[in-house]
Amino acid sequence: MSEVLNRVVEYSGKNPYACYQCGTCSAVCPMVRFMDIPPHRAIRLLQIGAGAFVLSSNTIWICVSCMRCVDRCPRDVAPGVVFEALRLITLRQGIDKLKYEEISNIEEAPTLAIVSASRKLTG
Amino acid sequence: MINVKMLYYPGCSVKRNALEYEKKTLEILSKIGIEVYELDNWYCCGAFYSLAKDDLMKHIGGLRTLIKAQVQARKHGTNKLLTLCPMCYNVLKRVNHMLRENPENLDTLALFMDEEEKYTIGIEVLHLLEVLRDNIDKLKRLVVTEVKDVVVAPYYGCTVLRPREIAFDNAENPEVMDNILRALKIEVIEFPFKTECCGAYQSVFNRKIVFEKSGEILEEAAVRGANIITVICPLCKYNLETTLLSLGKKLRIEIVYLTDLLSRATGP
Repeated sequence: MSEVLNRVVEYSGKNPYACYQCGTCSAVCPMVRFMDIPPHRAIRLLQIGAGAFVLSSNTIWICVSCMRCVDRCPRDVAPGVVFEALRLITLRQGIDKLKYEEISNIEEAPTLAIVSASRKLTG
Repeated sequence: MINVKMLYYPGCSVKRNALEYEKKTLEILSKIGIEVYELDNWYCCGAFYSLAKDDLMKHIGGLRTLIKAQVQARKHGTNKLLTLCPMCYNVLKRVNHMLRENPENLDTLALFMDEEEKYTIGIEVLHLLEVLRDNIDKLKRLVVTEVKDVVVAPYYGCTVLRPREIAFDNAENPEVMDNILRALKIEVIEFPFKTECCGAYQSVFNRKIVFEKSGEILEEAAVRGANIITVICPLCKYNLETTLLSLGKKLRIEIVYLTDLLSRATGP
């Protein structure tokens, strides 16, 4: 197993190998059109040891954990949970995705937007 | 009338961005006989439930809030904890659920806390919509004026309906809000985009996504003849409103909190 896949299993408790590529996650994902790689394909890439490719995609940062794919996944691979693990691989190295100085609407946005973005996009 | 007591956790955004939502909601709740006690010295619930299995520390905000509620539950004689913000509801209910399923996690989390008492998993987390649903008959009796010239598209967002273990209605076609509005004789449209994503916190990261996603919700509501979208979440409201603004004056539609509209029917 590749290093990325090991970490995904450790952080998420989910097993990407259980995925049989039904594509339900990509069909229900509200964000799929903004992603470099659709969720089902990201899981397939993890299976074949191309986790590093998924890590460098925008997919994991576009996902907002709405839990649609998690509720509907027939194999409990739960791509939305796997993506959290993939985000953590980067964030736990101290690399933040969100740059506070670049948020133009930081004053007017509801507090919870900033807190939740911090939870998902910073370590 | 027998009054029902409830503890109340407002959360950051209700107090900073949605004071009117809170005011109107508390007015309506008091009219239907619900006594609300805001938690003392409450703090952040965490806003987003952490999905990492190996990092329990991120649940401490939620757990501390629940323990605070437990302490004050004894004082007020109720174990019900009301939330208005769906994100708070989502986090607190999921933390509660996680602890019930894995009580051993409670011991691990206790290692991070010195001052707090042990949590007995006895708090019941409720969202405003559930409370209104359970008091629909009392709400009906409050109606003083018919709300005219209003056609509503009810918009739920995602966090009160997903994941399924914490949902209080069907995630595919929720009807709680529809039924509350209909009970108050307010016209409601069939709205297939009622649980479509507004873009969530991408409003501070990648706003183009929010404008596109929220834009579709607004346009669908307008096409179906709605002139009001009712919301329950400060973030949904912000995303829909800023998108509406970015569209110029193209759409004649107003984004209002559900309880704001209800109070138009029930009077001051």
